[in-house]
Amino acid sequence: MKRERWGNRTAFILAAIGSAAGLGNAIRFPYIAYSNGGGAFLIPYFVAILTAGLPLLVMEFSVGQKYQGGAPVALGRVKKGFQYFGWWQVVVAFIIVTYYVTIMGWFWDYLYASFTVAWGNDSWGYFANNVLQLSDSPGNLGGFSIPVLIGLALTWISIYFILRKGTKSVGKVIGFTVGAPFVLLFILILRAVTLPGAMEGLNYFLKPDFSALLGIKVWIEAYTQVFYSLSVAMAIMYAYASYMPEDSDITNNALIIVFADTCVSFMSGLAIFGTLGYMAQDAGVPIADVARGGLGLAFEVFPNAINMLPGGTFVVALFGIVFFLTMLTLGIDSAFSLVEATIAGVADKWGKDKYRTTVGVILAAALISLLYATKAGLYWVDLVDHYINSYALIMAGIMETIAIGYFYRTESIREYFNSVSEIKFGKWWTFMIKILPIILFVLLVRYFVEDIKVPYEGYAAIYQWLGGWGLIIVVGVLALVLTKIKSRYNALDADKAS
Amino acid sequence: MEFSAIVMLIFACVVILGGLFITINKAKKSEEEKINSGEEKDREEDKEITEEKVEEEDKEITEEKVEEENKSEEEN
Repeated sequence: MKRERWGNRTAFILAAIGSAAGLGNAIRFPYIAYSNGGGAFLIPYFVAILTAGLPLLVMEFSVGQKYQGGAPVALGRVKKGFQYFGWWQVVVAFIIVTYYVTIMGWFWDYLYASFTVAWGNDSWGYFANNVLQLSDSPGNLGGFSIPVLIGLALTWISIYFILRKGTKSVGKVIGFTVGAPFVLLFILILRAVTLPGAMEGLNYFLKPDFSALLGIKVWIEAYTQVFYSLSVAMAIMYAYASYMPEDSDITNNALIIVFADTCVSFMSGLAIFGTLGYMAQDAGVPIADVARGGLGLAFEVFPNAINMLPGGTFVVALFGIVFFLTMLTLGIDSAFSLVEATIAGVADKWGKDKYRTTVGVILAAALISLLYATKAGLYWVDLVDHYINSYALIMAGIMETIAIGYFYRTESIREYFNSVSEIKFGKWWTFMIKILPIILFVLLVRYFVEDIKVPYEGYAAIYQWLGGWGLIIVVGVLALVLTKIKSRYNALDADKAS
Repeated sequence: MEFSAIVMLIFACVVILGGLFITINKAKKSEEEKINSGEEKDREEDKEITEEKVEEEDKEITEEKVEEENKSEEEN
């Protein structure tokens, strides 16, 4: 079976940028930067990119491209036992996409609501009552929320049409879905900085507090942000790189992706803090009172800020449309890259028809994502997101770096990517691959200590197990089952270039 | 905006946009070189093929001539 290919190098770079630059860049980075030394946070962030993000990205690109397979098959070709680590990543990616698409569904609802600024003065009330129709606990599913169901359907339909012809159809839309957020963010920045109070908001975001750099917390946050921001350890970059010929550049591509990803994060910070500065001034409260991160920023604080903008309903609605369109275009590339990572894993191992695999994976994920379209969906998104990101994803990173760093000739990977790349990396790369498991282990322990001290968000133990600890066990078991299931196609022995 | 915030803004812009500019330019150049070297290869291959063809044609013509000459000698 001939392996499909990206149309050209640009298509690959854009697809990888699209996957890396997602909702986290827009709604997580600005708040993390603000609460960890403001402008000074950029220093540990750049250090973390250079010492962790870039080496990891280059490692995944190298293995995917050299061994021409999605994460399980590529890692399995490195050493048969490593296949398990690849499946672990695929299962994590599959679980993440099931709730990620639901968040995208909420953004569809808000895009529609933007036309009339339907949330009015009570953005949280609108989100909880009109969109989510939130029940009182995770155990009370309470049926489906129709607006969420519609948003979810729109997201899955978009993903199907983007992925239906593999890299061919992805290549056709990637120019728009990756280019649009840059343009839209630029429009948001222009509007934000021309608002009264915007400069005060930007001060909060950029004014450096260098004393914060002396504390360990800022550095941990920087490494955490970089790890989550680059779509590593999710099987995506293996799959994407495997669609490139074996002699394609690796290091320069990775650098372009890293810089573009950081660019999106930074632009988001300017747009969000400029607007929050205006909001704080208009409401007569300090910025610290309105600054939030994550879903609270996207669905509560920012809609409120939009509602307070000057210029009449049309201008306010337009700003809302641009903001939620930015979120949707940022999120869609990340969403379909997660699906593609799963498809590549399955299609590669069992040599199945790509289209049938695509339809099968989308249907399975769509079915599971229905849980999050229930009236208790927000609780489950919150729980699963926390545990999968804090544990399963970091564990995936630890596994792959230990495997390549300690149980394989790491130097041979460096020799390979240097032989095909425009920019050569020194031995520091090998050193960092060996150090990375320790850094990731620190992040893992930090989350574990926090969760042991205080159960996450005070959810009852049963839900912490169902949507958290139990799910991590499921990831481990499923990865093992998928590793052990025999394949007649025997992809691991098949000619990798076929 | 405070001076220190402006400095950080400039620092971030220089690192991010500068990094993007350098890496994208490098990629562009190498792609152009690849295309050029591909074209040169094609040209060289074309040249080789043409030379081989000319040689073959020359050979055929010479052989034909020799044959014709031999024939005419025999007839004489």
